[in-house]
Amino acid sequence: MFVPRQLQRKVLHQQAKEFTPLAPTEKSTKDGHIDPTLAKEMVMTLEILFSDYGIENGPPEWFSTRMRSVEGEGDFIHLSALLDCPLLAEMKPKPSQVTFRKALTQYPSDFLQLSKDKYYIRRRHEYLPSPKSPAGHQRGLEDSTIYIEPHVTGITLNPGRVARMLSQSAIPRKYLPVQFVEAGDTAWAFVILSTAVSHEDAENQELWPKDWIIMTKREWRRRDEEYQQLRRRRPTFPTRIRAPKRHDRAPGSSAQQMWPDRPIASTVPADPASPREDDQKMNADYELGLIVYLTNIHPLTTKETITSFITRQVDRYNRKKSSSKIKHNPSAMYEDGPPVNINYVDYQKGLTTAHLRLRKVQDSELVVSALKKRKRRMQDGNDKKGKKVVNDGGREDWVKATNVKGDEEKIYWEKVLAAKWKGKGKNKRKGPSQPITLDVRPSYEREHTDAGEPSKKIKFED
Amino acid sequence: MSTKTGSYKTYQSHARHTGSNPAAHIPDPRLLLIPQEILKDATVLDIGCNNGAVAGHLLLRHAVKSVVGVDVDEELILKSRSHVNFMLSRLHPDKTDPGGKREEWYPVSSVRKYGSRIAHAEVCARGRFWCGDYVTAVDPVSSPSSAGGGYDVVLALSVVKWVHLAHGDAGLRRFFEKVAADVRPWGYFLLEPQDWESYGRAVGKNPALRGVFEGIRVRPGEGMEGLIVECGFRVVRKWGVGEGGVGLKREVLLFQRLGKGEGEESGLDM
Repeated sequence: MFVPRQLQRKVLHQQAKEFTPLAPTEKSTKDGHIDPTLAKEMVMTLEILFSDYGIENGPPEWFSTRMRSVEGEGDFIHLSALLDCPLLAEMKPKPSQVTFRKALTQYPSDFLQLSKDKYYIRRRHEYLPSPKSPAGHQRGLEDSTIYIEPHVTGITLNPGRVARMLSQSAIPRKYLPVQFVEAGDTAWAFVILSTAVSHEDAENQELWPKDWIIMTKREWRRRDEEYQQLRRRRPTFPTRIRAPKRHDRAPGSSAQQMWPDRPIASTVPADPASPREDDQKMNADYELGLIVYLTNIHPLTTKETITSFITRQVDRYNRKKSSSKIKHNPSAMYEDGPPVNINYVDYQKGLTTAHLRLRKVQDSELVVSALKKRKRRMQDGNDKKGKKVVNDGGREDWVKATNVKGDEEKIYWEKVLAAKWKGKGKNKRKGPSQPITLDVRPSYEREHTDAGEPSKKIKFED
Repeated sequence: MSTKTGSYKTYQSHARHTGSNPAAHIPDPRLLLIPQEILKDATVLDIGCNNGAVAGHLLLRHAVKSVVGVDVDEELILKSRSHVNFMLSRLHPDKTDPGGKREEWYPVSSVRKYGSRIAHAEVCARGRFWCGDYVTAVDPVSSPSSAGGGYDVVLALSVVKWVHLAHGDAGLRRFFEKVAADVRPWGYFLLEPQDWESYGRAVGKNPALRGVFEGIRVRPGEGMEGLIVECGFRVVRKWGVGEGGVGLKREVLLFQRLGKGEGEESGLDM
């Protein structure tokens, strides 16, 4: 059959378009199913979230603010409201409301119930309270907690994966389901199982996932104390105590740190003598000198614009410095100054202030020096260059930068960590709760504002 | 730096063979290939030691006497020292069986929380690391070869490509000659060369290497083996891709340094 060439091309083009798959956001098959392993992990993460331990030890308002009545029945939470849950933070690909629904359809949970419209989820009422639950019994909790070091680093941050791997191992079924996973860091975690784990079972490597190191919490505590004693025999060592980890708490109370609104205990140096500055640096769970506080930025700007603005100022500052060096010493070579490395711009639209988290101390010093030398005003929200301030009549409204130090720095990092757990981190979605106000302005400015000056926050209509 | 010297932070780890980011307690499959009697009480030189993972395994699991590591990246040298310290800290102090795996007796959590329990001098006595280009630099502390002995075993795992691309064929010969000088007679040299496609990928990432790359005549494989034999070694054993317990992703070769009189010392015949 004769087909005009132009039409042939058009048909070919259309066919090519049809066969080009959309960039998948998750491992999905043609029939709309997601990867079964991923589905299982997602469901298991949800089961952990709704477990006795998760509910009883989590902040009550996290659940209560999200719970709704659906079709006359209460305690349902919308699937989208779960997305800012810290337990899902390390899950890749990032779950969405749709993938949750698919996962729960593919791998139905006996423990969880979807609403009829499949938009809401709750724990089945027949499981409240679970007779298997060790929650509330501290001794039982201690006995049912195991310490794990998986064969691959990083999986401890994904509770669903840990639970899935344990469920696929040869461990006696009485230990399942996994009640909770508390990641210490990328290499180790505590896992709370459904019943007490015997020492013999913990020692039997055949039962557990291959190449995992497993010990009961009691055994872990014994070895931990032994380690501390060994260290104490060497008095020359500075004792390093990091910001409190979850296992530092009393037995069974480690979940306090799993949730954002639990009070954070102050970091107490182990040695009674006042710690030196170096020790303080070592003790801190964050690197000092990385935070820069920006003022006088335009209230309608964006994080990207701030990044461009700062990078430009630093770049120009470096160039100027290098060219003036050549002017004074013609034999000197032109050198590109170090580029500034901005890890994160902590900014909320509507404010005239922001915090920069830099990669190195040198970066923060560079930003402060550059903005001290280059007085530039942001004229609008998209102003990446800034207007040179020559005579501002004493208003001093150019973008200024100061290093955040001391208590303010400590408070800032604490708030950042807390905010991360509240789902305000870079990988989290905005939760329905009120945003946290990070009042870590330099003290002089805070005093000034608190004394009656109006806040610089400008109402922004999005 | 990484695209020039291959000092990727997790590059040389045995992740290539065992999957992504294996935990510190997972043995390195390449070290399990060689007969363990070679490593027992041996002095080992690890060229391109990266983050010290191999050195840590050698000290903990393979009962070597001491390890010297060399790498061009200073950051990795610091990491190596710290890693070996970390691994030795986990070891149970009593050599008698404590009723569990002695190498990972103390939990990672304890070492991370309280810091190392091993004195710096004790670590240095067993694992020493120095920064420099092995081909051109000299070990700042006298090496066994300078003292007339030589290392029992020299390792060059996934490093030879970078030496080759940095110094060309002449540099590669110098490298093997230096290895030959550093290994005691009848000592062993374990090599994990990269394949030729890997050279191309390195040049793609760093076009500055193209000039040397185009001048390379000695290719990995028979050409390189011939060069090593010319430098005074004999091939003892080859493990091809897919062999070994985990299914190696790269070829591994074991050479033995020839002594003055052939047959003077019985070599391993595998």
